Amino acid sequence: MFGAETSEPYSLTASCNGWHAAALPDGLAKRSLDLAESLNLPFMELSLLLGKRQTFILAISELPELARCEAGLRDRITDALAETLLGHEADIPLKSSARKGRR
Amino acid sequence: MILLFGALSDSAIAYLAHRLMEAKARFFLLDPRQLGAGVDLEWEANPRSVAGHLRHDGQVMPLSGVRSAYVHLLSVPRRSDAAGQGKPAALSSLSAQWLVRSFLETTPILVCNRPSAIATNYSKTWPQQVITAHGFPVARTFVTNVPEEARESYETCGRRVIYKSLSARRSIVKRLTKSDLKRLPNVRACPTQLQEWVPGVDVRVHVMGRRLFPTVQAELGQPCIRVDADP
Repeated sequence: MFGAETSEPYSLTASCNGWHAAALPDGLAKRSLDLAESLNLPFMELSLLLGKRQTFILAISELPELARCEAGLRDRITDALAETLLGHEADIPLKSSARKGRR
Repeated sequence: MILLFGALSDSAIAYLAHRLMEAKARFFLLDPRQLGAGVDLEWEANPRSVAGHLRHDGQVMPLSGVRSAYVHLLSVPRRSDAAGQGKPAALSSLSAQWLVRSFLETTPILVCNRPSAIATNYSKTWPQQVITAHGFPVARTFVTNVPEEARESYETCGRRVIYKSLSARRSIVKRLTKSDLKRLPNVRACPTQLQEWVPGVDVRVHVMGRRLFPTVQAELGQPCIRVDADP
C-alpha cells in the first residue's frame, strides 16, 4: 500500500458535459511542468483531483483525450502540438540527443 | 516534413492532421498497418542525423528532410486483424510496432513522445511512486490478489474505494460497492488495484511542451472555471 490519507469529503462535480478550459494556481502549474519534464514527457495529460485540502495526482497519460474537450480548447491544444512539431517552440524539455544543450 | 505514426481513425491523429493541413504544413501519415504492404521504412541513424527513406506507392521520400514525429500506436490492430486476404502481406502488428518503435527510439529528430518515455505508463503503480517523489500526494492505493486484503482495504478506506485493472490496458474505473464484495474472490486470478475514492473535482491538465491546458468537466454554458485549490 502507498499513498496518503485523504481529506474530508468535498463537493462532487455533478451533471457534467465535456471538458472545458480552467485555470490552475501558479504553484501547481509549475510543479506540473516540472513533473512532465522530469518524466521526459513534454506531451502528456495529468489527471488531478482537487480535494478540499489537497491536490492529488491520480494518473499520467501520454495522450490527451482531445475528443472529450470542447472544440475551441481542442483546437488550442492541437495547435500547440502542431507548432511544436513545426519547430516554432524551441524550448521544449526534451532530453533527446538532438535537443541537448539547447535548453 | 513531419511524420505522424498512427491511424486516421484515431481522434488525436485526425485532429492533428487536420490542423497541419490548415497550416499548410508538409506531413506524412504512416499507418503502421501499411508497413510491408506498399509502405516500407528503412533507415540508419547516428547521433546527429538520420539517413534512409520511406517508400510509398513507388515514391521514395528521404528521411533526411524529416524534422519531427508524433506517434500514437494505441489503435494499431492485433496481429490477427492485420491479415489481409489476397492483398500484399503487411507486417504483423507486432513486427510493425517494433519497427516503428525502434525507429522512433533511435532517430535524433524531435519525437513526441519517445517510446522509452511513454514506457513508464505501462505500469499503473510506478508513475504514482514517481508522483509521490515529486511531492504530490496520491490517494491510498492497494494492489492485491488476496480477497481478504482487498476487503481490508475497502474497510480501511471507510468503504470508499474504486477499483481498476493493474495492467497497462485501459479499464473502466468503478466504485466498489457492497454488492461487489461477493465477487472479491475473483481477484485471485486477476491482481487488482484498489484506490481510495477521493471526493473532489477532477481536473485534466494537458501538457504541451511548456504550455499547460487545464480542463475541468463543467456544465455547458460555464466554459471557464477558476480552480482555486491550494496545491
